[in-house]
Amino acid sequence: MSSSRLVPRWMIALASVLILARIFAREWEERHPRVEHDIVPWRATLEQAEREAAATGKLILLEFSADWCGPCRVFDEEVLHDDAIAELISQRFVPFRVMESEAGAIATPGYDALQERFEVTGFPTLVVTLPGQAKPKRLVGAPGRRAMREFLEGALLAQARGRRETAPSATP
Amino acid sequence: MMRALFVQGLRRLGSAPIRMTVILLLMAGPSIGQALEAGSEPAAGDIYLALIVCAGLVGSDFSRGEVRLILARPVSRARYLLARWLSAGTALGALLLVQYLLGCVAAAMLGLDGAPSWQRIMMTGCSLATWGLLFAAMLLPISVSLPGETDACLYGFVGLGLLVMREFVDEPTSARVVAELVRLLFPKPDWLHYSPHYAFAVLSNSAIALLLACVILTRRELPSAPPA
Repeated sequence: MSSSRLVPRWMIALASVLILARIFAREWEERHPRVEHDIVPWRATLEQAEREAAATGKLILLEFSADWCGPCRVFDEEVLHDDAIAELISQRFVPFRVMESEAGAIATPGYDALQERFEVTGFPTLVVTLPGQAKPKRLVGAPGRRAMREFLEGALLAQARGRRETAPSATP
Repeated sequence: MMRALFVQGLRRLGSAPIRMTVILLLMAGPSIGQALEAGSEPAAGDIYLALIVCAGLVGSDFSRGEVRLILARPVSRARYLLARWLSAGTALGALLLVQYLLGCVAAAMLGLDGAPSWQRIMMTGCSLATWGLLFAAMLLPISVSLPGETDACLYGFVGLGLLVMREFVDEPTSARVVAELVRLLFPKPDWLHYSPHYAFAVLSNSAIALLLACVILTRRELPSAPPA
């Protein structure tokens, strides 16, 4: 009869197998990273986005995100991958994503300076720069599809209102 | 025998009125609010919940002298530990799951924007349940080493220490080391996709913690029998 005080061998074997499986799973995931295709055509640099916005008269939409931020991933997957939202952004905005990363490889160069410039205090934060207005329009936290649409349409309305105010009146 | 111990563990949790009141309070208010948030990660409220559920898991058996009666039956110390772990882990996983599902039902009923999809509910539910089992396993070696519910006091001191460290230690290296350690012990789940690495990380950490608890328990002397 075995002693009740013995550490069972199966427990040691199981722990060893699980540690090995963990190492292999990590290796496998690093070699086969999940490829996520963005529907939103993010611009490569802020300078490119600013040039394009100046040429087309579109608004710049900045998304401040981080790879360690859970709500950012949910927002990306469920809102930014929504066809209608992505189409609205593609057609009416010049999108640029500012990514903070612990890994460093996928971080946007100079992300900390951009966060400071646009006064970002949490993730995700959406910022729309409005020409002629000192304060950009911002949305902090992960909005749902409805709130995101309202935010984008609000920014477009503010742009249209700004244009009407600055344009010379046609009638005396 | 393991089944009887498992059921006894659940009953013991349910029959402690103060503990149940604290658990219900922690679940009811702020935690449901957290569940409604898009990220739905286990937050501070859930950690308190886990600590309350797992406090004195084995230590209280030693303090009350019940462990002598339990181990007088044909059950090994390892199986006794497994039963205690499964009862606390299942209870914790179920509580977290109920809390999260209540949040989802509330979000759906209120027609809130950003209510989670079925895929997210399933993934988060599975992650929360496994998180409960992992947390219970990680606390087991501490509960085996300390008498009664003193492990709860230790968690309080550790939490306080971390808060003080965050306030006064302005050194990024230390903060990064602590963050890395926490991430190694409690791997962050991918709330949206199944990740084999996360699954094996949870299982291997639980297995190591259980093994450690088992080694400590096998070296501990049982308390002397209470006087007749």
